Parts: sequence; structure tokens; C-alpha cells
Amino acid sequence: MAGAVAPRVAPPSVAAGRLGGRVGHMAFWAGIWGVALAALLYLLLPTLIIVFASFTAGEYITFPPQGLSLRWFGRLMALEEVRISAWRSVVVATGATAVAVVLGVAAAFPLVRGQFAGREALNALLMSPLILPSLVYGLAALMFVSAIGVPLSVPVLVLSHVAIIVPYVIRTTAASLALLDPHLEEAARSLGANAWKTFVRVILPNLLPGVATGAAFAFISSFDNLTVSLFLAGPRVETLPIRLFAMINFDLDPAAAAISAVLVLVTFAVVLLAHWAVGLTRLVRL
Amino acid sequence: MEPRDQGLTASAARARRAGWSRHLRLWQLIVPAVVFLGVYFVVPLGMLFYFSVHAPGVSGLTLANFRRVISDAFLVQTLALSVRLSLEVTAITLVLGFPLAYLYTRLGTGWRLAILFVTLLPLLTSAVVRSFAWIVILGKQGLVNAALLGSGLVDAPVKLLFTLDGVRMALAQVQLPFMLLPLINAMEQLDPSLEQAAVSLGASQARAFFKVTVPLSVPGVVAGAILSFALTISAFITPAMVGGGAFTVMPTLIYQSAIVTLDWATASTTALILLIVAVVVVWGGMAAARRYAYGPGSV
Repeated sequence: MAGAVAPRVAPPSVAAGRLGGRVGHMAFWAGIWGVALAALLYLLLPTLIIVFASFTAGEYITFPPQGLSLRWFGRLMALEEVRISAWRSVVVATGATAVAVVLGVAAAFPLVRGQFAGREALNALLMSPLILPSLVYGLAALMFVSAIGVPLSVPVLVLSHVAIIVPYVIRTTAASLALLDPHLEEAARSLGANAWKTFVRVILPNLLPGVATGAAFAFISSFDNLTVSLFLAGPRVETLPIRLFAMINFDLDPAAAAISAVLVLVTFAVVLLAHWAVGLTRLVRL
Repeated sequence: MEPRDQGLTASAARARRAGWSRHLRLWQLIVPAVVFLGVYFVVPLGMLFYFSVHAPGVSGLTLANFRRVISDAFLVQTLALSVRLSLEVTAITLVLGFPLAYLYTRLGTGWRLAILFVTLLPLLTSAVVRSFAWIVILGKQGLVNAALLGSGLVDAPVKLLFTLDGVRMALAQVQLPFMLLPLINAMEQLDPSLEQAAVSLGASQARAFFKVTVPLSVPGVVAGAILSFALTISAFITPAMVGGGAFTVMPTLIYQSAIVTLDWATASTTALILLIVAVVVVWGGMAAARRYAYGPGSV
């Protein structure tokens, strides 16, 4: 350690500057803490505000709110377009996540364990939807769908969501797989399990946390997606984010705040699930 | 080792003979995902490119669309605004994110979890919801104006919504998590004893921070800045909602020409210009980082 090497008695010049050094030390940490706490508040504040605003008893969103009530949450149930679009979003996100999990989990195996030509190139291809701006993809997908003459519909929307969420599943599954000891598989095989049994009984249970986290992120990205959906949804296939976007552009409706509060709650649940499944500190390194 | 290896080989051969594994090789599992993305991702992007290099009345490839779009003064102005806005937002996220990421590496598990939670919650919250929150905060009857009026600092509400300042503030909050995560990742790999060594050799804490930690964090800064810039320049929802119709950025322009005027040649050409600018900046940033890492003169 540094302390063992450093001289016990400080040289005179250091002793003279010690008081100034201590003040400087405190000022430095005060600065770091000050900016960091401001950043944390900045990150958190909008979410808190929108949840708080949804409990207003008034007709408009104002600060401070005119009394607290749950009336706008009750009103959501009565708004038919909100109910229909919310259900459609659930269907689209569930379908897209299911397809993405099947494609992504399968693809993760060769990417981690396989040794074949072009593995790096295929990895880059499968990750590229993360990098491409979703606006550009939305436009390209609309051109493609119109060119092949398929009318805009829920299945078209589902497939376009699959394209942008499949990397999440691949990444988290591949990360879990890379951590899994290959000897486990060899042990199962040498004890007589066939490849399928090894996969179902040994590999899959160990990968489940990674797959679940990837699926949760995939679901929430599909459920929240506006940019791609705006291009591909068309007027008859309205999702909840599109509905919300339209409501907000109209006026500051507390019902929109209530929808937002529900969406924040869903996100909260996803973050907790990710923490429970793999732990947030490990998640950052994926 | 020898007998065990033989046993493994034998059992592997047995497994290979059994069931579906006889027909399936490991690499083939990647085929469905590659085929799907090939059809539903690569082909559409190819079409985007096709529409940008073909013009009505011109046979074969042409750069007519690019010439037409670039000679449009409004587009150049929009592109300049988009680049400026993205650079400013990236700078804000860096200034706010760096101290927080640094503190993360110096704190215990409880604080780390709290910081990650506060980072991931907005990251995963719908962009529509976050932008709506900023509309509520910045509006005439919003939180900022309520606080300003209440404290007597201003007499009349300040206009923040539908201004560039408001959009900058909202975008920086939306992009801050994308700056934070690469920074935390990079700074976690630094050995804290490097800074301690500098301090025990007589450097002040601030000097050790700026002379040791900051230079060593450059890879994380570059990764975060690239991500933040690329995502800001292509952000559509926040500028559209918080900016109202007050000004146009590149994504608004692309959306309008595709959906409102149905001009696919212009839409795809503008989208490609946006992509090219983003790629050039990303490559430039990476080249600068490499140059920095290996010293001037070596790339």
C-alpha cells in the first residue's frame, strides 16, 4: 500500500500547505457531490413530476395541483380509444418479444460457442439495429412494405418491432452464455444426456435470468416505441404511444398524465425484474 | 486426463448420433435470425438507398437527389441546427455525467444501486412520457414558472416551452443515461490506487483527478459522446413535442417529407445525409480517440 511507502513525517513544504490542502480536498469533493446530486435530481425529476401530476383533482395539469384524486385513472377506463390502443400495444409487444426471444436465443449460441467463418460479421449484422436511428429504419420499413404491396397491419408492425428489439435478447443471452462454464454441458453430455436434454435441463435454466432480462427490455422497447410505429401503424393500427402522442399534442390532459404514470410503473417493474434476475451492477457491463 | 477425454469424445459422438443433433450443427442456429434481419432490415435499407440514387426521368444511378437537397438552403440550415444542438447536448451530458460516474466508482453498493436505478428508470421510460414531463415542467403553468413566479424572481411567466433552450434541457436529460453507462463502464476499470499514488506524492485531490483520472477516462468519454451525439441527432420525439413547430431538425424534416408530402426521394436522401453526418462524426471521434491513446503521429 501507498501508506507503507510514504514517509511518516511530512516534509516542511507539505506541512505548511496542509491546511490549504484540506480545504482544497473538501472543495473538490463538494464540487463532485454537488454536480452528481444535481445530475441525479435532473434524471429523476421528470418521472416524479409526471406521476405526481396524474393525481390531480383539477381539470388541467397545474403546479401545485388542485387537490389530489384518482379520478383520471378512473377516466382512462372510460376512454375507449385508450383501452383499444393499450390492448393493441400489449398484443404487438408480446408477439414481437416472443419472436425476438426465439430468434435471439437461438442466434446467441453460435455467436458465443461457435467457431465459423464470418462470425464477427454476422454479430455486427445482428447488432446493427441498435445503432441505426429508428427513424431511418421506420422510413426504410415503410418503403419496403409498400413496395411488396402488403397493407399496413398488426403483423407488419410486429415484424418491424422484432427487427429493432432482437439485439437486446441476443446481447443478454450471449452475456449469460459466456459466463456459463462449458464443463457443465460436457458433464451433462458425458453422463449420457443428449443435446436436446442438455439444452433444456442444463443450459436453459442457467440462461433464464439473461433471457428474461433481454425479453423484458425487448418488451418495454416495443411497448414504448413511437418512431417506427408512426411510419408503420397507419390510421387503423394505433398503438398506445401514438394515442398518447396525439393526446399530448392536443392539450395538457391529466388523462395523458395518468397513462404516463401507468407506463412509468411498468418501467419500474422491468427495472426491478432486471435487478432481481441479473443484478443492476452486472447489467451495466452487458 | 487421457481416459476422460476419450469418454467425452465417445459420448459426444453418441450425442451427435442421437435425435435432432444429428441433423443440426451449432452454427445453423444463427440462420433464422440472419435471414429475418436480411429480409426485414437489410433489404429495406437497400431500398432507402435505391430511392435516394434514382430520380424520375433519369435512367440509372444519379446524384440528382443529393444535389437538389443540398442546394436547398433550408436543409443546410436544418442540418447545421441539428449538428449544433447534438454537440451542445453531448457537452451538457458530459459535464453532468462525468462527476456522477466518478462518484459511482468511489461509493459502496447501496449508492451504486441507487445511481444505476435512477439512470435506468428514465432510460427505459417511454420517450413520449419523458417529453410530456418536460412539457409539464417547462409550460406557462409548469413547475419552473411556478417556482420563478412564487419566489418573485420574475413578474410574468418565462417562455421555455417551444424554445431551443427547453429542447436542449429535455434532450440532455433524455440522453444523460447513454453518456453515464459507458462512462461508468470505463471508469470502473481504472485502478483507484493510481489517484492515491498521485495524492501521496503531493498532488492535490483536484490535480490528481484532472491529471490522472480524466485522461485515463477518455475511452469512456468518447464512447459516451458518440452514443449521445448519434442518438441526439436522430431524436424525433423530444424536438417534435418540446419544440412544438417552433423549429425544424433533421428528423422532423425526414418525417414530414415521408408522411406529409409523400416525397420518398427527398425523405430517403435526407435520411442518408443524416446517417452520413452521424457516421462521419462517430468515425472522427474514434480516430481522435485512437490518436490520443497512441500519441500524436500514430493513427
